[in-house]
Formats: sequence, structure tokens, C-alpha cells
Amino acid sequence: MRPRPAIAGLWLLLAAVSSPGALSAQRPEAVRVALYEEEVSLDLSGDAVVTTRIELAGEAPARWWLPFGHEVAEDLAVEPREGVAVAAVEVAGSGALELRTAASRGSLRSLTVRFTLPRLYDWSAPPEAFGNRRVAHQLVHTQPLEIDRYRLRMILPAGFRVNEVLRTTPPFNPKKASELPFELGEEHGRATVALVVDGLVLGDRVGLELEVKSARRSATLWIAGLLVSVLYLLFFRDVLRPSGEGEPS
Amino acid sequence: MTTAASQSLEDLLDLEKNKLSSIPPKRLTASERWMRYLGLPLGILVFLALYYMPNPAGLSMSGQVVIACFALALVWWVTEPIPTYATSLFLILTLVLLDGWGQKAAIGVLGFDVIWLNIMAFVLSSTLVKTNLAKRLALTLITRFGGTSNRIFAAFFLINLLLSAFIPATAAKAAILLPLMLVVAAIYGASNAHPNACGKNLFLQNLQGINVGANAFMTGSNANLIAVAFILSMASERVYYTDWLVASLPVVVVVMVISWYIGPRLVFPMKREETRPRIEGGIDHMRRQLDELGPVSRQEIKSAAVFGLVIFLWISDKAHMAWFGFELSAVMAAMIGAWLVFLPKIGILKWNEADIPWHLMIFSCGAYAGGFALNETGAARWLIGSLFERLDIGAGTDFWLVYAIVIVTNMFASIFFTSKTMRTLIMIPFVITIAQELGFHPLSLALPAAFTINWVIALPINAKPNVILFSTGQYSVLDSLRYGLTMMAIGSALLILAGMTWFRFLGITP
Repeated sequence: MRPRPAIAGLWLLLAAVSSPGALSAQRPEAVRVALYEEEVSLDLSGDAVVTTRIELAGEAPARWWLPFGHEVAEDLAVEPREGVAVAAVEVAGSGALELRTAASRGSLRSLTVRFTLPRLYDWSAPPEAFGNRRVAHQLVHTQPLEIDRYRLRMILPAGFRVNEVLRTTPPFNPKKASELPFELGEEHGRATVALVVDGLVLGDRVGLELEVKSARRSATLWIAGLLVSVLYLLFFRDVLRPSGEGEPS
Repeated sequence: MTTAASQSLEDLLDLEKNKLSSIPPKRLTASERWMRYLGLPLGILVFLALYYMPNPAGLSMSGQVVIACFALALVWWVTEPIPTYATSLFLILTLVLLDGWGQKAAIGVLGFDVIWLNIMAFVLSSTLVKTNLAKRLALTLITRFGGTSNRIFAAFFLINLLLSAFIPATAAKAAILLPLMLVVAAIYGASNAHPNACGKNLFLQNLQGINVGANAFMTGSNANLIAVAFILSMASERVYYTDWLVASLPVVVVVMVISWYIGPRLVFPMKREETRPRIEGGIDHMRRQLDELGPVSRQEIKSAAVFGLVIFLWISDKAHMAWFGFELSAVMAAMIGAWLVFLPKIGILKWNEADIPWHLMIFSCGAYAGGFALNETGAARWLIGSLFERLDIGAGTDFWLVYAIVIVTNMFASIFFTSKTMRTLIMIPFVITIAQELGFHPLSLALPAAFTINWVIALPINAKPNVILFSTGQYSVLDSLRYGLTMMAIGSALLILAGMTWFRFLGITP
């Protein structure tokens, strides 16, 4: 899938969890998602590997849906494989991953879905000012199924680092909150950003918008800095001379 | 009466000659010249090392740029290879051009309330100086408390402690005391053209009094209240006004007495002649000078009324909502005063008579830009987090070792912050979490840590009053660092000692 042309350099994963009625109809007791964890691993080839781990508070319904906003996904797989089937479908105009749990499967409390999004981001495209590129991820929660904790982890391609976290959804006010909702980190030499939001209900949006850039720095400042230092030491030796009233400071 | 002595006093108090807005040439010592010579390449080397090091985990690229630029500026502000305001301009330039902080945010610092408050404070101060009210108050202070600088320093400490009980805005306290300090310094022969040890002690002890005095009272600064709120919300412990007062006031008083004693003896040793007013005829002559000022003039009454109104608005901030339906901030209250003094006929001052040191406003802007960029890019948070991580505090660590680490890190972390509120928001939750993880009572670490909040005396950028007093040119960044670090070390030792004795007696520490 190509990046959306309307937002150059920005890819947006708008996910919609659909058909909540089906879920609640089959499971009258309240089923909640205790943990909804997404890991988006970006590769220099442009592909992204998405791993979504779901932990349910309550047993999984026989048929339910996960958010999925992509036209093309490859290598779609689910863990555990036995008794669980996954397919990309369209529900009420929104993309979704349909999960079917066989009755013989017994209680299912957690599962992991993996897929690859080919050519999601074009890393060879010219960057913005200061070599920055914008990368974003957003999830729109469109169903009444409550999510106790949502965790997103984005892993940048090797050689790229986060320059700035431009925006978090919900917004973060550093003057009021004592803890940041996101955390920068590193895994096997690759930069990571994690976002944690608790208590998602119908209509909530969560997401991250990042500015990333290559970790390589031009050597120009090294050369200029050393040159200025040497020239200063050579031509400003008179600073050491006592001079009557001295220089204005 | 025009005598040689009175002429000399007039010279000292001639603020046209000692304007804050003009930059007098400075005579440098040999060590200062060496610092100036080596400071420029040293700053560049520090910058290059930090800028080119591999981006550490947990720190953004922009945060790394800000740390590198701020470190360079810090070295240059201290060593002064170029003027401090030029360093500030360079800092803003590098922050923007190296993608550390956005241009809009960086140059927007000039519109911050702290800059406006500074400008308004200088306008009000100029009013008191022009009308001779500052001179009258200073002469009264000196003739009442005797002629030695030590007594004057003690008097200022008492005034600071008294003001801290009523005024939660430390910048407002600085604005009130500034004109008085300027005239007293002049009487003791200290001006921006000829700074001396007396001026350094006077201004830096007052800086300490203004800031650290706020530690004595829970309402002394807004940051104190934020810390108390954290202790309540995260540790479920309510700290009452009297709890704070009983625990902290004795420590503040002791630290003020210690700094009053060792400041003029160890930090900036004063020559005997510097401890006496530089006035021929001594204290008697000053009494005559005070008499010669005659009855309080109409202009003095006007300036006292305006200043009194501003102080009243500062003190009564909690009642504003009930009176006006909104709260007048410290800067708005000062602006009302400044507006009044510029009014034709009823006013006191013309624009040209307002002594505003713009070069130092630019210095402040750069300093604030660097400080805010450290906060907003998460670099300050990362620095503090990394520090605690490296200290490797874990289960089984002795309480007093943890206590000492908490006090020292909280105390000295102030060097990297321009806002007490920000520092409190970052540090106090850290401390409470550490206490909870190690199984200590959160109050035993968090409350003593809160007593370090207003220890912001190392650099002119660490708090608003620092900028106001630094603007007088009576001391350098290096002087500030020297005094601040010495007193902060003493303050840390005292808080650790208090933890083992006084706080233990009160049941705060185990």
C-alpha cells in the first residue's frame, strides 16, 4: 500500500472496530479488552510488520473484529493457530480483521495477530526541513467494547531516531502532568517509542505523531568548531593582556 | 549644604552615572582573563562532544541538540569569552538552526511574563530612585541598623523572611527590594561599574533570602503547593501549613545565619573598608543627609502610593476572584503601576528616565529559551531520570544513603531548570515513587525533597528573581555560581543533618 498522497510523508493507520452488536449479542456478559497492544516495526524497505496482542477480560466471542485500516496486508497470521481463524474483511464500510473462534477451542483469553504492510512508507523520498520525516499512527475506537489499556510501540528503521514527539492523542500537557504518556527507548540498536493510554471507550482516539530523522550528523560542525577554536586561540591572545579598563561585557 | 563629603554621597547615588542600562567597562583579574581566553574553545569542545555523541536511548535528537547548545552557553556565560547577551543570542540561533527548538517558540520567549515582569519592575524601581524615596528608605535602614554591612545584611534577611510570609511571588519580592538594594550598594561603594565584595554579598545574600526564604512557608511559592498536592495524591499524606512551617522555618533561619556569617568571610571576603559606608563623615553624615532630604515630597508620596498599590495587589492575590471576578497576576499588577507612573501630570516618570537594561533582557531571553527547550524536548526529564538510574538505588539500600542522594540531587538539579514548577513536577513524583519502591514512608523523602524546591540560587537563569538581581551588574555569572554552589552544599548538609535530628524528632524521618 502506498502512503496516502494527501498527507505526504505521513501514514495514517485509522482503525475501526466494527459491529459491536454482534459481539454483545453473542456474549451478554460484558467482555472487555484488558490489553490492546500494537507493535509497528518499520523497515528501511518501506514495509512494516504489525503485531497486535490482545488480552481479554472474559472469554472470546465466537466471532469478533479487530481494527484494521489497510487495503493490503501480507502474511496474515494468528496465534494460537488452532481453533482460531483470521481474515481481512469490510464491516459497515470499515476495514476489519474478523476473528472466528471455534467452539471446540475452549476459553480463549489472549491472541496475537501478525501481518506485514508492504511499502507502507517511502524512506527514500526527500525529507522535510532539517532532514525530518513525519510518521504517525492513530487508532479510532468505534465500538462500545471497552479497552482497559492500550499500548502502542513503534520501532523505527535502523539508523533513524526520534527528533521530536509532535503530538500525542489524547494531548499531553507537560505543565500539568507529572509523567509523559510516551517513552522513548531502544531495542537492538533501533529507536522505539511507546505510548500507553488507559480506559478507551467508544469514540476515543489514540495516536502518536513523530518527527524522525537520520542519526547521522554532518561533519561540517566538527570542522567549523575546531577551526574557530584554533583561530580564536591564535588571534585573540591579546585577551590575556591586562588592558586598563578592559572590554565592555 | 555642599561639602566634599556630601558631594561624594551624591556621586555614589547619582544613578545617571550608574545606569543599569549602560554597560561599564570591566577590569579583569588574571584568572578571569584566562577563563575568557579558554572559555570559547572549551564551550565549543563541550558542544561538539555532546552534539556528536551517539543519540542515547530515551533522549530525542532535538533534546540532544538542546543539551549540547545549553552546555555551550553555560560555559560561555560563566567564562564570558563573549558578552552574556551575545551568548544568549547565539544560543537562540543554534537552538533554531540546529533543529533543537522551533523559531516561534524560541523568539517568543521575549513575550514571556517573566520578561514583562522584569521590565515593569525596572520601571517601578526607576520611579523610587528618581523621587529619592529609595534613597530615603536606604538611608533610614542604614542609620537605624548601624553603619556596618553585617547589620545591613541581617536586616535584609529579616525583611526577606517577613515578605516571604505574605508574598508568594518571589519575583515580586525582588522587585520590592531592588531599588533599596541599589542605593544601599551605592552607599557601600558598589555599582555596576565598580562592583565590590560588599555588593556581591548584599545582592547574592538577598537573592538567597528571596528564594530560600520562600521555603519557610508552605505558601511561600506555588511550587511548594504543587509538592504538597503530589504528596497528598501519590502518598495520601496531608501536609498542613504548620507542619511545613515547624519543619522548614528553623532550617531556613539556620541556613540564613550561616550564609550571613560565611558569605562576607569565606565566599566573598570583604576588606575592612568595604564593610563601612563609603561616605566621608560616616553614619553621622548619613543622618545629616537624611535630615537634609527634608519632609517627604509630593513626588515621593505618589511613588510610594503606586508602589504600595502594586504590593497590595501582589499580597491580596487570593482575594482578587472575590473582588474582581478574576485574578490579577503579578505581571498585570506591576503593569498597572507602570502605567500609572507614565501618565501625564499625575505620573512621575518619562520614558527616557526609565532605566531598563535591555542587554540583560536579551540575556534572560536566551537563558529562558535554553531552559524551556530543555523542558519541552524532555531533555531535563531524561537527565534527571538517567541520573537516578545510574545511582543504582535498589532494595536494601540504607535509608540515609537514599535520603542524602535525594536531597543532593534535588538541590543541584536546580542548575538545569529555569522553572521551579517544572522541577517540582518532575522531581517530587520521582522521589515518591522511589520511596514507595524501596518501602520507605513517602513523606520521609518527599517532604525534605520539597524543602529544596526554592534553592534556585546557582545561576541567573534558575529563577525570576535571579534575572532581576543579575540585571544590576553587581556580580558575574561566575560569582553567582560560586556563591550558589557553596550555599547549596551547605544547604544540603543542613537538610541531611535536619533529617537525622529535627525531622526525626517531628516524626518525618524514621
